[in-house]
Amino acid sequence: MASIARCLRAARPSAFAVVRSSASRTVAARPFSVTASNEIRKYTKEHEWIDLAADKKTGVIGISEYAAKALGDLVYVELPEEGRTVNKGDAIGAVESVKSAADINAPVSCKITQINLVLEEKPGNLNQVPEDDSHGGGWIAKVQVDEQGLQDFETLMDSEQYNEFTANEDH
Amino acid sequence: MATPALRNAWRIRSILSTRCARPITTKAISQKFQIYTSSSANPYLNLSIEHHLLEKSDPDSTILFLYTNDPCVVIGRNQNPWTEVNLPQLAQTRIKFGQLKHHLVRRRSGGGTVVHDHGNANWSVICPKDVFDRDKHALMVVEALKNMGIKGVKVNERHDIVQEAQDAEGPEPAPSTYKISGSAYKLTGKRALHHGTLLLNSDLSDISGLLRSPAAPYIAAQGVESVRSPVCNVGVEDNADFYKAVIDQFMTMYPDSQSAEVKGVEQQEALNHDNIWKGVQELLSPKWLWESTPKFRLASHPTPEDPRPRPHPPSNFFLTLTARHSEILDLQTDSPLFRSEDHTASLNFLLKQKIHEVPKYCDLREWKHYINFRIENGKSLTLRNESVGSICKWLLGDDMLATGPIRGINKSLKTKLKELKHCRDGGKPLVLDHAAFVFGKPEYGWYVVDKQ
Repeated sequence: MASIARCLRAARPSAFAVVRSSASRTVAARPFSVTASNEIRKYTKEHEWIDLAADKKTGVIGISEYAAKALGDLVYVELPEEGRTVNKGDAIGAVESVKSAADINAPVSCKITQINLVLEEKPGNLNQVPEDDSHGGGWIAKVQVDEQGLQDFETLMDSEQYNEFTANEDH
Repeated sequence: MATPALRNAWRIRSILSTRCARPITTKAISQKFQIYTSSSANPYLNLSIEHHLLEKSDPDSTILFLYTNDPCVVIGRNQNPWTEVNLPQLAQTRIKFGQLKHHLVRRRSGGGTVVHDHGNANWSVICPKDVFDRDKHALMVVEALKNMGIKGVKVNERHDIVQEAQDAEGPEPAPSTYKISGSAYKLTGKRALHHGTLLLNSDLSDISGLLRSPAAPYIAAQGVESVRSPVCNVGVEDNADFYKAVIDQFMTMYPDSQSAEVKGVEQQEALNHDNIWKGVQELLSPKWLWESTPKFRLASHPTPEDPRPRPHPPSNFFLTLTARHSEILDLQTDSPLFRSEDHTASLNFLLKQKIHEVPKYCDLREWKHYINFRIENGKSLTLRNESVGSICKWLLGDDMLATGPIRGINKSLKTKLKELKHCRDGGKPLVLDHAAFVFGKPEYGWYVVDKQ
């Protein structure tokens, strides 16, 4: 995947501009929020992301913009099974592009509570808005996180560390 | 009367591979470079050996695996068997009772549908994902073919290996290139697998028919659709010659692999391996084969969403059906002759059923039988009219979703599993299997090869 990303390096600065601008939008929209919706986003080395809700019990998972670009045009998203409890690193689904089936791994131990069925009709959403966890976004599943999941979460990279990680992967 | 395929198996084993009692040990799969050939021609087993190597080998290792399968139709991971494969034809071509000529297999990698037989060699390279490139190993195979003196081969923009047409002149416009090998990939957290099929001396007569589904014009499917390409053989008689050329080229590409031993994986050894056996069971389960099918919608007549003309639209009813993972989610019927709710009420029992588990409705007699059965079980269903039967016949009979053929295919999966389990439990290999359908007589089968 990294080697494909290497060919796409020219496209990457704009990719990160998108990530950054959406992140800043989130911040701008929520400073006065008093509800528990202020989530924290972290990334795995396998290029999945997870938003953990402020109550630390639920989250949303997906694949990163970097990975979505590297994979190319997605033609099908094989969603996780609802209700399934998985460990960190388990293959929970897959995406297909250019004859490649790529596993989606669970970023933390969790239980799958809801899947984004829209992606079955419109796999292209994953290319367009992979890190969007709203309706119409490219998020893959909503999950419930337990104590183990929280511990796993602590080991993941924040967005700054992840940007650094992917920048290094390109060299 | 050793057939070419039989000779191949002999030569592959005697010339190339060191026979190891246990070639896939933990130590073996931790080596930096590994080269394996398989003595089994069972597609479910070979794909599971490959999957085991992908999952369990050292993340930094690079592996070459070569194998030849018994006749089979292999669909990609996210494909629809009802639209990709002519299931009635597949189920009708039997070598003997319960034994289909072609197995039906869903592989774990992406891409489209291919047909294998003994004249087709499979090459597979597993490497770390950070050095993965979609063309690198297809180019390796191209170099191997060039070294065998085969001309005009190259990798095209679809990552397929093609051969330029030998004689482009003629009255009919001929394709400029013919596909000789496809490419498919599987990516995991740290690893990448690239495999392909190479047409050496395959029987191409079945391919076109098997890959034309009578149901395809009626079905709009999510997931991956195959791209049709004209194919040809490169004309290599002996699969072992190809294996040898690919191994040589792999060693040229990775000079450090020259000290690697070429290991022959025995069928029995692979079967007795718990993780590989788990993979075989998964591939042979109807759950994997049918229920991995992405959502699709079947309509008997053109609809606004799917306006393609239908070849034989039924004259006395209109029907749409939606299924996800083989489960029937929605079924609508309409007919000028009968009240639509009658049909719908009578057909409602099909909702939530898995298509591959619905009994056969090839004729009305069986259909009535099934209704009676349901009544005995406390369901108050009545057969309102014969058109319900004709709908079922159209939908689940020999032409459309082909439930009859599905039963035949499921039975063959069951037989295959039973047979492999018997083998695994230490029983003698069931001689009649490949032997009977490949060579006509039991004594000329793979059993003979395996005894050497």
